[in-house]
Amino acid sequence: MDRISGDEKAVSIHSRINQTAQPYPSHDSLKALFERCAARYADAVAVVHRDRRLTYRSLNGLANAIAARLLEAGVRTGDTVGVCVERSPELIAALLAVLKCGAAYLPVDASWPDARLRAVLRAAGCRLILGDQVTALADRLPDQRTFSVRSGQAGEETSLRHGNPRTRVGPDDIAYINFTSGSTGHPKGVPIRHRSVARLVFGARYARMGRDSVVLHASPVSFDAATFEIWGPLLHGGTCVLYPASFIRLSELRRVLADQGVTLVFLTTALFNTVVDEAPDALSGVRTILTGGEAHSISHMGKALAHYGPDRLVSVYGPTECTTFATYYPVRRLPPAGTALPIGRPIQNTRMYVVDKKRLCAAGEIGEVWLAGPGLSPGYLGQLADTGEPFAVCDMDGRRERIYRTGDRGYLLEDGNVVFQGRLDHQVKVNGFRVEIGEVSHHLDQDPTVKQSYVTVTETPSGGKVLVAFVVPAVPHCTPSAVRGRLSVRLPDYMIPSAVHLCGELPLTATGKVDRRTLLSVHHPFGASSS
Amino acid sequence: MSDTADEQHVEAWLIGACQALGLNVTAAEDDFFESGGTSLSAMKLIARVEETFGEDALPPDDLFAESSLRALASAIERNRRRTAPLAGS
Repeated sequence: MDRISGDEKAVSIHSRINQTAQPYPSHDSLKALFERCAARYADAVAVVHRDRRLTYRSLNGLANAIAARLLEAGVRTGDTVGVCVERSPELIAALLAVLKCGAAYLPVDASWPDARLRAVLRAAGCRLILGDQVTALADRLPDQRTFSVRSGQAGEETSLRHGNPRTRVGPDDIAYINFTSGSTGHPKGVPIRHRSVARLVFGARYARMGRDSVVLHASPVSFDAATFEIWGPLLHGGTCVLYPASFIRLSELRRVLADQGVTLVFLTTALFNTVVDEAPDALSGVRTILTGGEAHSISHMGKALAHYGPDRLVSVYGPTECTTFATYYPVRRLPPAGTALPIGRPIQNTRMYVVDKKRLCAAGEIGEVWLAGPGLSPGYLGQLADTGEPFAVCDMDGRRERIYRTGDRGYLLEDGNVVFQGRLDHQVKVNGFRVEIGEVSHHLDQDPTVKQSYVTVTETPSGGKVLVAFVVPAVPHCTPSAVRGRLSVRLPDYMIPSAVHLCGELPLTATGKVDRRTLLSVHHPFGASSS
Repeated sequence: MSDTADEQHVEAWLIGACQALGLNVTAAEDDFFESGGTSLSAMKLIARVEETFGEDALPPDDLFAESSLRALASAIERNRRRTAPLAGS
């Protein structure tokens, strides 16, 4: 066990920021927590979707009906059930139903290519999948038992006949599994416990949540922002408003937020910037705006502060491995020129350490950000060391802690807020999606028409980020569109480079590394790009 | 104006709008996504189309179905005629 300690200043600032203990229901499963809300707030609105409004009683009934069918089909505690359902009340009921069986849900997206769907389901040991388009799904996934979320004799009356199932579910059981990009070419499964979700949404420092909270759910359910968007309101008696389409339109966003009286939203950094640029009024009625996923643009934050005032913006940070959010920073003013917006301090029941060479860093010293507390995943699914085991048990200045090394670099400010300083490895964020460059390269290198490749991320003239690939062809008939086409049967859309450039060779720098700058001058022939 | 003239007007508007989004387009044959368009620039383009040609002038499904600027222009014209015959610039 590694022993991590530091000088007095370093120890004192860490113990100051890590006083985060808050009472929360750490002994209850999500099943118990939700069923308690369903009993207590039976007639309150749980879910809104287009013109449908479901009370807690109806949502619980719907979930119980699906759970009864899953139990009948043999689903047991500890199983993993795939969920491939469009954003709808049935999606929420499906997630609840899986939890009520004591199983873990694995949300997957019908837009993923078949190869990815199969790889993810296989890695999670999943044999049964709940869907809304089961015939199509059954054709694509012959190894899975497919199960419709809509029962033949649907209708609320039948669903209300089922009581809460009497399965035993504990706080240490796995609630769900999310997959993130893996640097060796295979996505990594991150299982999350029931307790970790309770830790995220109860006693929250980053936003006030209660019965009157109306929270927008607009993120893809296969990403962990959805954990907050769904369980934040539904474990408090609040309302979860489902964004009615898969693609967000600003006019529609404005209407949904206003019509449903949404009080709390999470927007990825890229989406936040787009709203601030194009339609800042869309968020006018929202009480708290959480945003995160990538480093923030100071100019957008400045514009947002001017528009929304100093008490409504909160920047949040956190890897999937620590259940959605790990730190928060209420944005009340802009940082001094030339410095980044801090990622902030740890949220409730979360500890953060900045560590360099087995030493706690004092303010101003750059190190790796480590996280600890009940938000941590128990570890990757069946994972052989991928980038070196990032989970470990350490002695953190006398306290035995299980920690997760994020791979993010940062430093503490004197006031205890942490500033992000980039990555230690080749992980990038593209429009809020976490992508390992190595996973894209792996699949490019499998392409028989590709001899050599280099993948990087660059900024578009309008300030967005895109993946760009440079390919040395192995055969004369290699074309960029065919290369992209072959990637698209392996990888989800957000991992496909938006441009593929063919080149005779990959230029090298004096030190023998691929010359990224020269390559990017091919991509941006008319001007320099920022790094 | 004939439909063709209307569409040409919309095409010219689209070329300008895409250039303003930083895309490398010069002609109506150019494709929005092939020219560097992303889901975020799509969101911005749709917002600007709606501002100019009215809400629902370019539903995302139309943009993703066929994304040459020519196809987008005819989708905008088609939706505009269907949803709001009197709307427009």
